[in-house]
Amino acid sequence: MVSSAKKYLIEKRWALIAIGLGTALGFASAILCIAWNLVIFGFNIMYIVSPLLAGFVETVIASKKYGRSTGAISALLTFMLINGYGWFGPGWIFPKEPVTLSLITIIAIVLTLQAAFPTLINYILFVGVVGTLTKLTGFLIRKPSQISAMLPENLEQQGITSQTDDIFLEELNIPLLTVHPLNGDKIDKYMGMVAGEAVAEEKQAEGRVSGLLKIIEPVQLDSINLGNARKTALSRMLEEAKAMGANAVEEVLIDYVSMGGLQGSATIVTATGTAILIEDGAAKTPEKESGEKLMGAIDDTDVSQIDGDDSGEKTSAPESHEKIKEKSDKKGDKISSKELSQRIEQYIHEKNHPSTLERETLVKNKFKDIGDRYNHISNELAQFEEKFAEYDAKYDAYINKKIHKIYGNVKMTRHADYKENRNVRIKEGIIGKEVLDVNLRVMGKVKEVRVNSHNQVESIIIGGGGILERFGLSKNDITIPFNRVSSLGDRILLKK
Amino acid sequence: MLILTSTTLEGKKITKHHGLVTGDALLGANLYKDMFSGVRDVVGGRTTKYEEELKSARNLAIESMRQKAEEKGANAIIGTFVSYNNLGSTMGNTIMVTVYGTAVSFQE
Repeated sequence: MVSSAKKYLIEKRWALIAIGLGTALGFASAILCIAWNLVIFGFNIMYIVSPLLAGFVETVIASKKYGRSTGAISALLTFMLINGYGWFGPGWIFPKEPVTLSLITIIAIVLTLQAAFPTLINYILFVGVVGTLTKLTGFLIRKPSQISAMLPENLEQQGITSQTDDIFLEELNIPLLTVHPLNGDKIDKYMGMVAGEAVAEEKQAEGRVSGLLKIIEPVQLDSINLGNARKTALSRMLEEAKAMGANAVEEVLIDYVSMGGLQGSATIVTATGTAILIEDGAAKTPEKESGEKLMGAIDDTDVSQIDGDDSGEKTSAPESHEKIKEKSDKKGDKISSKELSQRIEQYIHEKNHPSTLERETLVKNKFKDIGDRYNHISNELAQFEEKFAEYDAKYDAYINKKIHKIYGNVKMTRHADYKENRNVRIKEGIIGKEVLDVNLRVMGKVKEVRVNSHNQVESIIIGGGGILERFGLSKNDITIPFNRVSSLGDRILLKK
Repeated sequence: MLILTSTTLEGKKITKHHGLVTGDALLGANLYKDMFSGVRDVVGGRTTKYEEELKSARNLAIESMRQKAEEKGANAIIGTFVSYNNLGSTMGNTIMVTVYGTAVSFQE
């Protein structure tokens, strides 16, 4: 029994020596800390330094001589010793001041424990505490998307409901094709490549805690605004295509590139395609037909219509002349010189026609009539003006007189108003101001202003102050006649 | 110079294939640094600044590809493909914009 104990002691001697040395050194360092009063933020550093030093020394000796760590028992011992001494000891060496249970003390205890039992404490710290915290925060701060994701109905709906860009795609008037158009549409012209980019960020409304949670949890599809980004990218591409004058985009390719590391993620959405000008069957034919019609019409009119003019509309010579002119403009270079000469002849013929001359005289007569009428009316207007001038002179004097009278009334009332207003203004200005007595002591604040029957300020009433005054219960109001006021300013000064 | 993503030229005769032409542009930007330094769009809070950068990088790549095609004597590039790749580690980001296509000569 004894021999086995002896053997045990011999076997463990270096470990024991290490623990003893560590504890001694820790204790010594604590004494030194006290002696030199090494205090930081009102806290003696020995509570942290001594156990650490003890643990360090112990571990160094143990690992060199004993072969393996002893688990920093001396650190724990030192800490216990110091604190036990501080709390329960008589207080010879250390001052009698128990270590208060502050945050630093707790940290020191945790540190010491951690040095002594690293595996256990680390497990508690990093698995137990963090796990509990995560669960707690996850429970307390639940993202709206998480809640919606929890409901199975919503989850099913997500697949069905259209995203923002689906609606957008339906409203487009430029067709977007991911293939080469084949069904009868002929590509009129290649405009060139078009592209558009957009960045889709993850929604970041939930703050930091859920940002941490994001590392653990998989990203939800609806927390990234992919639909919007795609819409932006496509519409940018379309803008480019429109600017080129295309009416379709073929071989559209949408690509996604993820970027960003731990800080969050953003996805670049890109759309590329070829802008083309399609000539499809429906749009093409009517245009061509109408064009042909127009051509035919012009060809037909050449001679026959002019003949018709001659017979049917003889009376309107100037009109037909204009028509001819228009037609010649329309046809431009197509008219042969023969036709032209024919037309000129016709024009001259119509001009000398008796009906044309008759019309001319008629128009001339009408103009003369209108001229006469104008003269008559202007004469009458001049007469009216004269009459008005007369009336003006007559009424001017009368109106002036009236205005003077009204103005006088207004002036009088205004004067009276001003006087009253002045008092009100003084009242408003004074109330609430501090009143200082001759010794510049604050007497209180002006509570009320008394005005006599002649609209003159008679006296001011100062509230007694204190809490009671706020409730309007104070009876210490002081009344001061206004003639004792020496000056009015930000504060009111009294004279003797 | 006609640059198309289509693989064919409808209604036109391709007289010669000049071969592959490429163009690259690197966009060295830290997305988050830019974002948090206040280059935010007023509407929506998304950086259009960054999107503009992307666009200019793409244009640069296309331009360099176009020059190469011109040197070969081509008058069109068909089957163009634009690819955006994320280079770099988790912290800084470099976006590589690569453009490649086939340079051809065609007749109307």
